[in-house]
Amino acid sequence: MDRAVGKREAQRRADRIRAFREELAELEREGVLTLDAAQRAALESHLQRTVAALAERFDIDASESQKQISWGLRIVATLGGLALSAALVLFFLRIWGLLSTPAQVAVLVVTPLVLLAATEFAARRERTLYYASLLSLAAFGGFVLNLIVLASIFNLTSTSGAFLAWGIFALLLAYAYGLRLPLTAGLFCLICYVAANFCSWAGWSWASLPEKPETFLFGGLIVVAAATGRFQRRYTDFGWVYRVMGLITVFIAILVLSESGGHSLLPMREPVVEPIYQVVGFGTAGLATWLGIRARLASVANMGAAFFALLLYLRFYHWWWAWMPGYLFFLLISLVAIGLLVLFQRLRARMAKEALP
Amino acid sequence: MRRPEILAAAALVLAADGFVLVEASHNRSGSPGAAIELTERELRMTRPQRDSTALLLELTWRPRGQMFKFEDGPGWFDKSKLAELGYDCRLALTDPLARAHYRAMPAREAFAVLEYRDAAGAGQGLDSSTQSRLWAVDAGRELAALRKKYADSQRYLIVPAVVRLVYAEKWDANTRRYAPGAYLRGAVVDLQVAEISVPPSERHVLESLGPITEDYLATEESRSRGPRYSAVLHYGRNNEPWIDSCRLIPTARH
Repeated sequence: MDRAVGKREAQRRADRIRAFREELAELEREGVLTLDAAQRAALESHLQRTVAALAERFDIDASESQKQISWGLRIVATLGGLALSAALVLFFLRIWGLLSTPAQVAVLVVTPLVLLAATEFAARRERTLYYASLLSLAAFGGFVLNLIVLASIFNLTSTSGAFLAWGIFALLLAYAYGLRLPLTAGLFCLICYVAANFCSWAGWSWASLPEKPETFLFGGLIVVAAATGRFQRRYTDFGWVYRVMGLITVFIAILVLSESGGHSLLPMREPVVEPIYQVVGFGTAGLATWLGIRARLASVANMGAAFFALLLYLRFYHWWWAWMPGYLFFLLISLVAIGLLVLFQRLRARMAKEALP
Repeated sequence: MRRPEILAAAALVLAADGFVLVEASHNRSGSPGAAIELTERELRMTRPQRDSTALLLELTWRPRGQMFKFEDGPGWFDKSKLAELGYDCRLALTDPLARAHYRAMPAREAFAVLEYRDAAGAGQGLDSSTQSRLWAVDAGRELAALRKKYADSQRYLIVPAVVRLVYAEKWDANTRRYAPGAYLRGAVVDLQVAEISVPPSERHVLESLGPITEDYLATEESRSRGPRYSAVLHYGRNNEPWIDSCRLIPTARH
């Protein structure tokens, strides 16, 4: 079995066992089910053996407190990776002037390669991959430093191609070890690459990409679509990263355009462009919520609902804030919130009814 | 390393670095497209960080960003030049949406012509001894046409730059409105390579001087002494620059 998929399945089984134990205890308290001593001992022995075997092979979190500590470890690994990248950059800036040009080039080339080897070494030594995650971020940082400083040493014009190289590098790291952090960095770089090329194609400086949010829409949609690709089967939780990154990109681009239509590529005037994107925003948010519920993708449904609410409150602000007394404005906002609560509760009740056998 | 992805990542690093080195080598092969000696006025010593040992020379030109005055008018970088560079300037300036329309236009890449003017042509003023004597005098999309028009490589630098359309208008503090008479002009807002790395062979010349240019210009000495060094700037086959030789200037040169 693939190690990443195996670990996830093992964790799910351990979670099911924990839930089973809790439910069994509850049933016994209520007098619905009572196991005799022999049955209880056999069951407990089997469950303990199973959890121990899973923990031994896949290093899963066997308890809730272990799970919480694992989250802490992930956060620490992320911060550690970022700090190590920053240390690399600052250290190189410190020693840059002390080295000859060949030595500068050698240090820059060797840094990401050494960090790649260190990531591989850590991944082989440690099943949890926290150290590998930390080192993979540093390797990515080392490659970013590599291209930026090499271009600076030889005074080369910066190009959007660097985003492509960084994006591919990060994706290779992510797929090698099943790490979500390099995947996030890689997708961000590739979305920027697509947007930058769109700018160049339109005749602008590629660095103008933040000024034209529509250039991000295409990349964002590609990333959302890629979440369903066959290559995601090996790492099923990568689909979540693709969907979140893609949707955030699309939603932010639409939000900016709905508030500042002057930045649009559409050959229309600002007062026409903004309402178009407001409608597109509500439509996209509604569609994401609906698709998320239908496909049982909580992240998509939640993001769609949150974006819908954000757009709605922004509209209220534009329509009412300037002329309405403050107390009335906030009263209306709270009434709308109550209306939404009623709507979502009904939706939830209907879904619960459908879920019952 | 057994994982194919990691081997591919290592190969990618080597391929990207190889590409950079080949490009750098190609740029410096053959005879340089331009070579001009500039002083600290135009090539300002800077560092990426205060405590960094790296030395860079920042190419500066005039007029920069805030140095434009509304009363100066568009000068050579007018509406027709903007249109030549690809900007769509058809919307009438009297249109109520003109301001938002023009301010949302992104920057474009172009070649900027920087003219080196001697002391007489560089203008007067308190800071004339420390201000850059490179002036942006033209811009275009075709390098060959600009090279033909500005053939004197000792006087003109033709450099890849970033230009932007500016919707120029004047704020009237009395009426608290923009005064009528807005116009369009262009500006060279950045150079594709504005900071040029000082090669290790020349670093000792500049390091002996002490403070970076920004700190030096804040001193009284800078006004009386003027620039402290000069450097020969080359532009190669890819229109990318490099510094060849640096030397100290013992006394003020105005």
